[in-house]
Amino acid sequence: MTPLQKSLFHSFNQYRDVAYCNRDIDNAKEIRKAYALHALNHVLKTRDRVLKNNERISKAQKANRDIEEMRDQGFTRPKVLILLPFRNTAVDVVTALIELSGSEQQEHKKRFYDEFNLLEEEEEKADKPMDYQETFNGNIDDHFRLGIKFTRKTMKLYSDFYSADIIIASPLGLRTVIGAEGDRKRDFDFLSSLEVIIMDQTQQFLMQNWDHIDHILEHVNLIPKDAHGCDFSRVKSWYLDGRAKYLRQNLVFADFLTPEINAMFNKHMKNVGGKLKIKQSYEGSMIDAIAQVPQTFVRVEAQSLATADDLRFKYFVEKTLPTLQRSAITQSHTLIFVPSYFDFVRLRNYLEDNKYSCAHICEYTPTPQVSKARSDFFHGRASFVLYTERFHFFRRYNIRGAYHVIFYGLPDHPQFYTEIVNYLALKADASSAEEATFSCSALFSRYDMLKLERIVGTDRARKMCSSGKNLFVFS
Amino acid sequence: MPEANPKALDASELAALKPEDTKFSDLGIIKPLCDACDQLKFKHPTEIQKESIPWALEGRDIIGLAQTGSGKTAAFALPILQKLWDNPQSLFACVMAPTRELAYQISETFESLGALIGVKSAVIVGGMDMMSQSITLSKRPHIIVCTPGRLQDHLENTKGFSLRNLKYLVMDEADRLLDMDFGPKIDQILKVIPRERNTFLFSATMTTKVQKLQRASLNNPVKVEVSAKYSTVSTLLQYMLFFPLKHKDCYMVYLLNELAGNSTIIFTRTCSDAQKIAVMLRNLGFPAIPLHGQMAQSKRLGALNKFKAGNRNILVATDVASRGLDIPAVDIVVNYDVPQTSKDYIHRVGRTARAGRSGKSITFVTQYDVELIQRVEKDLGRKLDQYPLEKDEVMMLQERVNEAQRIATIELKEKGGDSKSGKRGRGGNDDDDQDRDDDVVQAGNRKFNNNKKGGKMNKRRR
Repeated sequence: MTPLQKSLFHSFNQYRDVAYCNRDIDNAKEIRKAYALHALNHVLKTRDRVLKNNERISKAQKANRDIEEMRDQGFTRPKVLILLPFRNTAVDVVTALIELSGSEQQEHKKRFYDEFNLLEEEEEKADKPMDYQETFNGNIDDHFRLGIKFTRKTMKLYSDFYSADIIIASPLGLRTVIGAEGDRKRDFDFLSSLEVIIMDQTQQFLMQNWDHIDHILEHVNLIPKDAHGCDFSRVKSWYLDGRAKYLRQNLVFADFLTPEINAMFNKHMKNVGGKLKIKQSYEGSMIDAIAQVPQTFVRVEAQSLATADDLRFKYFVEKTLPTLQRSAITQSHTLIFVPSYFDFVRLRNYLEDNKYSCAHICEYTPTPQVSKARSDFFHGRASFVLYTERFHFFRRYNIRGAYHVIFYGLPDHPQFYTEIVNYLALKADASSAEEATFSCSALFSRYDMLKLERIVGTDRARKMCSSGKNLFVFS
Repeated sequence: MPEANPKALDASELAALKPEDTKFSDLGIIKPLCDACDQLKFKHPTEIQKESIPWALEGRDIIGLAQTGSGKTAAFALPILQKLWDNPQSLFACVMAPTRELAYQISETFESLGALIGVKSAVIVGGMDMMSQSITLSKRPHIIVCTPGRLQDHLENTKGFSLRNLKYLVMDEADRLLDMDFGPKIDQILKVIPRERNTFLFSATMTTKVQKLQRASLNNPVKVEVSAKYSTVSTLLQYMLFFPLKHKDCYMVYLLNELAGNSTIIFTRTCSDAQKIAVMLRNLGFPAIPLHGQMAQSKRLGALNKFKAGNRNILVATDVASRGLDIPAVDIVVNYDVPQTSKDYIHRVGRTARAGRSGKSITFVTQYDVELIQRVEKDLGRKLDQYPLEKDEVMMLQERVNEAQRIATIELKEKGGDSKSGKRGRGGNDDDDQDRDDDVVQAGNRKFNNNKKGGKMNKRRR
């Protein structure tokens, strides 16, 4: 065991909630092993207890004497839920479970590897950043669910949820089973007795659909609608009282902390065993930028979170855009980076209504149109391009022809900031006079503290959020 | 017990005393329960309590016969609670009742009498969610109050629930429990509960069938009988009204008008009558509410609560409400139809004049009911007096009543469509409608009822 695994496993085994926000490509495997071990340990421990009690009860029945209550079960069998973004990580986790379980036989193992590994040859991704290669390596289908059942000697993959011990699923895969209010076919009773929930690569759920996570967590540990053949005399009393969510352990692993994860930490992680949030302080990813441009940060004053979005829009339209328009240089070849799709739509509509020459690229844009937008922008046929964070997450394109970059909001992923600033260095034959006109500016508000600190560093971010000035230039 | 009450009297001495002169402690009831009785303003034991409690405490089986409103519930609740106090155990006693409403009421009595000693009781009746009942049962309450159908369902389908350690079985309104199709269910239940237990049968009336059951499950029982077979309390004034059938509604409206402000129960023979009359009365501005077996369980409880709380003071009900229910403030009972049997008559009029209060009952007799009423009068051993009223005044209402009848018929027809589909929908998820079907039986539709049941059995087997 590595020191990290040791310290994490120690907390796991004390059944505390853990939100670990320092995950990265280097420690991903260690973490995965550690929680796989914990999940397996938990399942086997509880199973042993049930088996032992079964024996005691049958002995007592044979001897025809009464025995005190044995409350050792939930309503339904599944105890551990592991949420993963893509099939490729599911392969890793299941492989780890197979190794750790020491089971002699695995049912449906071949089917699993057939379905969860990539069928065709992988395309070359060598020119993409490391973290992209890691995330999108192999089968990146995000709609799957899998029940795993452990018996004395075998491990059964693809078992029915009600007879499974561990459920591995993507948020989307689980959400489609849970269904929505009013759906004809819904099922979430099998989530009633979860004791451990593990979420790995949590920041990637944000790039998928965070709504699913909230939806799932709202359907966990409810009293089931149907008995599903459970033995009521052995159901633990906190399940009967509907208090199971207070005894559920939640383990969350993410590359960084976001307000969404914080909200989940406060709202859904109610373990009476206590909870830990582990987060580092940052040096800032800004220093990794190659492009030699002054980087400007402007703080938009917002009194409340509710008005922050409107104020940012207002500031952009009233201050940033006119400034861009005023100068002949900044009028064209300007890339506007927008983290959220909602802001994207708002800006797109505004720019279209006001007849700006503008191309846009978001996660819903079909590939031919993306190519057209990129080429229009490169050749100056479109002066602006709108570019979203989610698109960048899934595609990681280099957008050529950008002389000015404006961050309407900061990206969650700190490396995206440098990658986008580096678009400015893509023009190899730029003269120093041209380079001198390049610019980069970003809007932020004090609610973006978490994003900001990853880009400029923790200490600086703190100053920038509280300082009397609202304009900061780094060169 | 002896140390709890060294002065406990023996049975013969007790028998000599009048209820007013005894106290609960004289019967051998322990202090916490006496305190609970005080809090509930039970000062002296009633006749049936005085007669049965000492035997029950001695550990004998009991057949208790007493008229309604005479304190039967406490007569079995107190000894059970006391035994439970001596020997605490979960799933200690099971009380069966024929109707869901009565089950709730018995459970309330247990909870209030047992409040001081921390008794948990659970109500297990049809029409409610199986799952939440399973959870309640698995929390191991001391007392279960149930209707037989649903209890049997749980015994069969809820894993981990059994009555293996049951010590007391009570059947309230025992004759009715055996009267209806409960018989087979009860036989099945008796098979899975221990033979070494105490059994109490309580009823206002006793039929031959009870004697059958007595053989099956009682062990050297004591028969406690506090009054004659068919009798009503003396504070009850019983009247009848004789008129042609076509004026029935008119007479009813006149009466309700005369007696406005009193809380009244109108008993009808069929569910549809109850519904129709309630709607008609509402059209005429009376605060009426129906209660019958074709209503969903939640609505039945709601109707009863509204009536109890006094929001609506006219309850139009079928025989579902005729037994066991204790609604303290009923002033008048109107028998819209003459009851089919004398027993039903006793139960119906027993809703009023309870616990020493006064009350009135008025039975409507038409040209077709003469034979029935004569049978009732024979069993009662007395003639009913004619209710005094002015016939001309009644007839003045005819027009308005006819109008209201017409509107009610239209309203029901419009609603008829959805209520039918609603009923079908409910049939799908509601397995235990045993205690609801009895109204259909009353309506003379026994054949239809049996068919329906056959279908259900098949479904369950699948």
